[in-house]
Amino acid sequence: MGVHEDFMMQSGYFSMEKYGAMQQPSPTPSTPSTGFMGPRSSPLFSNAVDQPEPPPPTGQDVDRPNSMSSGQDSDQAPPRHLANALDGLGRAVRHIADVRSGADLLLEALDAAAQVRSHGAGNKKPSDRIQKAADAMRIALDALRATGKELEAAGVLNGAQQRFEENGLWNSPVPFVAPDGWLVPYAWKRQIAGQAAATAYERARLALKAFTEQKRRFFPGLAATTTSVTGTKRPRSEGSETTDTAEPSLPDLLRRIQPETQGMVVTPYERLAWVKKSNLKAGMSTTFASRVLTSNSSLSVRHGNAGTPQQPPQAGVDNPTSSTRQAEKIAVLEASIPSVLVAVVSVIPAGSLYPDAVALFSPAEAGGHIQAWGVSQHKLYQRLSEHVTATLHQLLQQDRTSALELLLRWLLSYRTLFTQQCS
Amino acid sequence: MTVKWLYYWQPSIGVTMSSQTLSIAIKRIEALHGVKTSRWQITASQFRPNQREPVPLVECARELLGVVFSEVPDKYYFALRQEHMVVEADATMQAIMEKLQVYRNRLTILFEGFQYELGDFHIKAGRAVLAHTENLRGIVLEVDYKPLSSVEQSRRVVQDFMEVWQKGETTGQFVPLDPNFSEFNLPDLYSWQHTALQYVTLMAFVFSQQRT
Repeated sequence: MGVHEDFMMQSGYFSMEKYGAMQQPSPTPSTPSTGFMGPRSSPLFSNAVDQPEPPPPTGQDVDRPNSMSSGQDSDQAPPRHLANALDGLGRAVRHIADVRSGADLLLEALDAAAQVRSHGAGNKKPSDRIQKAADAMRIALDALRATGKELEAAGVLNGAQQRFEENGLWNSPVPFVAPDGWLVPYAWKRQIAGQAAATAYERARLALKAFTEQKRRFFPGLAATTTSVTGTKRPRSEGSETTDTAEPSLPDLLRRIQPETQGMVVTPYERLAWVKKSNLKAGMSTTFASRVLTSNSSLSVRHGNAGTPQQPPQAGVDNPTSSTRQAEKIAVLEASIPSVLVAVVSVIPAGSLYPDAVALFSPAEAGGHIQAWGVSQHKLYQRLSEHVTATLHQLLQQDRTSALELLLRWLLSYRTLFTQQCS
Repeated sequence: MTVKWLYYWQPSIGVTMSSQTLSIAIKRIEALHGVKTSRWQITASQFRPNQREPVPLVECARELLGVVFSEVPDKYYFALRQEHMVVEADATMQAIMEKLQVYRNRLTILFEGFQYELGDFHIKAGRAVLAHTENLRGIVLEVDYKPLSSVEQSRRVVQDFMEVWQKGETTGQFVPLDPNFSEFNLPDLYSWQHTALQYVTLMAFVFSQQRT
């Protein structure tokens, strides 16, 4: 009976668990939840998966009123009934705890009496203590009996016998009484609850941190409230900064990377220009045609835009006069390894070094869906996109400033994707 | 355009070729959860000039090998082996040639079968028959790797795929057809001209097989 009542007590925690883990065994290895008795014998689920009542999909809170109302005609509304039942069970548990502590007291008293007797001191005290302990126990047992009768009358204990028989064959460890009087038959439940709380707190903290960072990125004006080291980065005007002292800027990075990344061409675009370009490409049949045509025919489109893409053989940055002025508008980088892949990286805020999203596409693909958040038509590039996004986030976590550069270098390593044997 | 690689069935020594092979191949594709999409048909013809006079008045090609794809019905491709060229013409070319009677159609081979989709691979499995007869000339497999457009990049991928796909096949194997694109001045970027060249080469191969 004790085991059964405990479930009721921790009903809140349980129903939450049951929502999530209806079909799974309990997390710790020590419990024989799905062991020799099968899935139904787990103490966590015995209330839900039950012989007398059909298991409702929601938590056991719904279960209880059913059993109670079926047990007797109740004048009270089910929630009241439920509250009473829970109350009664709570009292029962406390009584049990009292009984247990009474038993402990009794043992102590007997022990003291034995010691006293061996020492031959006055034997009035130990017998008093024994008497007191025995009285306490008797009272607690009476109270327990009374509560038990109450609960039985209320129909709370219907089916408890079967459940106990089902579960009683376990060798459960001796339940210990927590300081607030709650009986915890399995210590790990408490521990897990504590852990859950701790992780929830931790996660909430991390989520808060992530949100504040995002806020800073997307709403730079609100950045005044943050106290972290990395504020909004804006590239300086002229490209004379080195990487150590000042904040590195995007054109610098591109210029630096260009000689080292043979085989990969990185071209920067303004966000709007990229959208136009990808939509323009949607009408083309072959990339060859599109490369030629877009650069010729849509010059007028890009005339007023910054960071115009150059012909692929050249480096990805314009002449210095226009680049610095328009470096702040560069928001999309297209890194293409000819005939292997095309990567689109979106940088936020525009002109800075922080990559936001990346996606990989086939060099033959054309269409408006080629954005940094788009999905390729081919399963291969879908997989690769997932992989590269995971890498991107990993790099961002490690070091925000060098993430973009590392990402571009890493993409370069894919140039032998189709030619080199997997090791 | 996506790269296609042609594979031709080579039976093991002592085994005769039959339509069984095709059904085995199709079973293998379907075992990998290939989805049947459509029928395909490619007609490859060989043209010889109509020599009425003993001395030809006009310099013309000795042999024209023409291909028409069911997927591109409005184009007719010619491969000229001596001149190392692959040219693209309109579909009405056939009608024109018939009217002019300059070239005569000597042999035609029909490749036909079903197309399957296996993830990023589109596979065409079919047989090669001599036109107007039901003579089975061969079993053909065309593997189309969708993500890539470059011949060199896709070579390994498709080879590995075919290796895995035909593992355990004892009655024969699919042999890849590797026409020399560079000889015909075709670039690395795949196009229908490449396909035309591949099928023309296959047709020539089939003819040579027929003689042996």
